[in-house]
Amino acid sequence: MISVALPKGRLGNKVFDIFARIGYDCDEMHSDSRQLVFTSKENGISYFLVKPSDVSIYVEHGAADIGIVGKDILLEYEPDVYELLDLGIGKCRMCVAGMNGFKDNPDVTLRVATKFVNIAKNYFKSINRNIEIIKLNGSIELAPILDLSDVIVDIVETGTTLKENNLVVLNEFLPISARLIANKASYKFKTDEINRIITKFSEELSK
Amino acid sequence: MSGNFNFLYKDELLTLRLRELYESAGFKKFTMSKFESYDFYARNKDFLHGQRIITFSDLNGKLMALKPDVTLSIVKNADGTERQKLYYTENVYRESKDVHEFKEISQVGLEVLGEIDLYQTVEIIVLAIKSLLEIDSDAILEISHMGYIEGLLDCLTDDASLRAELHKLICGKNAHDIIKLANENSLPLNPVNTAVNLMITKNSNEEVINDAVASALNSRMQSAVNEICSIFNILESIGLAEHIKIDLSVTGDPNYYNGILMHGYVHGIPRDVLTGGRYDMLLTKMGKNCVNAMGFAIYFDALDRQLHKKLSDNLPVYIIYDDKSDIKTLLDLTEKLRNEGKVYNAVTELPKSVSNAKVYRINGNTVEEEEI
Repeated sequence: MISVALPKGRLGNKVFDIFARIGYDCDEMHSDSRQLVFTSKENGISYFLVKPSDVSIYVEHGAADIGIVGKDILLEYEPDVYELLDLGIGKCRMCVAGMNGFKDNPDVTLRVATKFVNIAKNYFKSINRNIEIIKLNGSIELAPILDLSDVIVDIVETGTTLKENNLVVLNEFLPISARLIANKASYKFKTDEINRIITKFSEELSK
Repeated sequence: MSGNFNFLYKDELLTLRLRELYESAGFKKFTMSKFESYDFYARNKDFLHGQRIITFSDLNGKLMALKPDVTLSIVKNADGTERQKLYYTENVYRESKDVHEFKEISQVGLEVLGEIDLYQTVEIIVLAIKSLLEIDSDAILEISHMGYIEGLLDCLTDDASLRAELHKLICGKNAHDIIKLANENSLPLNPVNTAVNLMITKNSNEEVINDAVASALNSRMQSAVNEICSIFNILESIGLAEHIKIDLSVTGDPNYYNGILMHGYVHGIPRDVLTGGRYDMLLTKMGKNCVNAMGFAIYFDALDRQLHKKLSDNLPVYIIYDDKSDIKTLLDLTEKLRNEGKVYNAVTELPKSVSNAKVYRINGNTVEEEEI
């Protein structure tokens, strides 16, 4: 039995559809129940839906054998897991954004609001820019509007929210996509089962 | 080990069994001092992966550290004159990444300092496998070789930061990002393909070895795979090969490790419970005369949930006596229970919290037995 941590939301649904197509369907997932764990004994798989940023925690601690998670989460939290496959779906970009017309003054410490503290720190370190991080947990776009920060570092999918708030992308520095990760110990003991999933998954994705 | 040890917790018994195993192989117990000079650890911070350590000033104002690592202490105390075989059971204090506070970690491990030949290497690996088998009969010891990865990286790049990035990706079995990084940095195709191939799981250890021999691109890789091959053949001949998984994509810190690497896994624990390997580079860094060093440690914090249980899960036994009970009858009963390996409590009244127990009541000189 392989347990899979899926991110709640659009990406999780999309990934489950792929699982179902490659022979890991689960009837319980199609019902409207309030169940938290969905198991298909005949296909030897169980799924649970968790907050996207928690997927890597479930996998790293062995509560799930494998999981689907965005590269942003892997770079931010650096969990000790195997990153076995780039699914090439759930694509977006990690960007620096600011108010339309923002001009950076390199002599002054840049105030950066973000959810992704490590990613932001590493990026600005790589370009030798002094920054002050303001950690937020949501509505990041609000920060430059209220002058809480000069810029934000956040994921941009379509850019609509930015545009509606008179913000522009100043720099795209990291392409993001969904990855299939595995717990290191689970992978030792369930190598064949996990590899079978990976092979079928890549075949399906390349169709 | 003979005798009745039902009162022990599983982890306590495991420690005793491991001590017995190591002592029988000629290892001597090493006891480290509780406090050591901070300077020493600050100089070797990289070995502790930049972990924060507990420091305090002693009565002379000197900055001291509270037991952050046993290996460093053993190496520091090595005199380098003859081969030393040491084992330890110690608690170390390290920062816990998850909760951002210090944690006490119980470790059992062994180290060999001095010349290490093929026999010594195999002996350490065998002890690592036997240690794991004490915990789980289906345990797996993953074996790798730093020489293979380092040799491969030599063919790829000299750039230290790029090597570090490649190390990380190889360790995470992240083939897709290696290909991307290779394209961005125009790395040579042949070694990149070898790196990607390393991450593909093979059906057997023989296949891993054959593949590694065929893919060896320089003498460093060749000699690493030769060593792995010799070790595997010996382990196979003594019937331990089924507990071995050779995975040459596993790496360690190249500043310290230079040969065999080991990671041990047991069912039900989500991370490796045993780590170790050959670390000659640490000795060189510390200016020691010893030629080689190899060892491993078992981390009991990972095993705690599984092992911190009493060996016996029998019903608790209570003996209830009063003023009129015959003391000799009571003592005879306790002697009998002790010989049967039972753990008993002699009380005048059954504690209210007890809901499930075997109860003996001493009425005068008769014993009444019941289960509640």
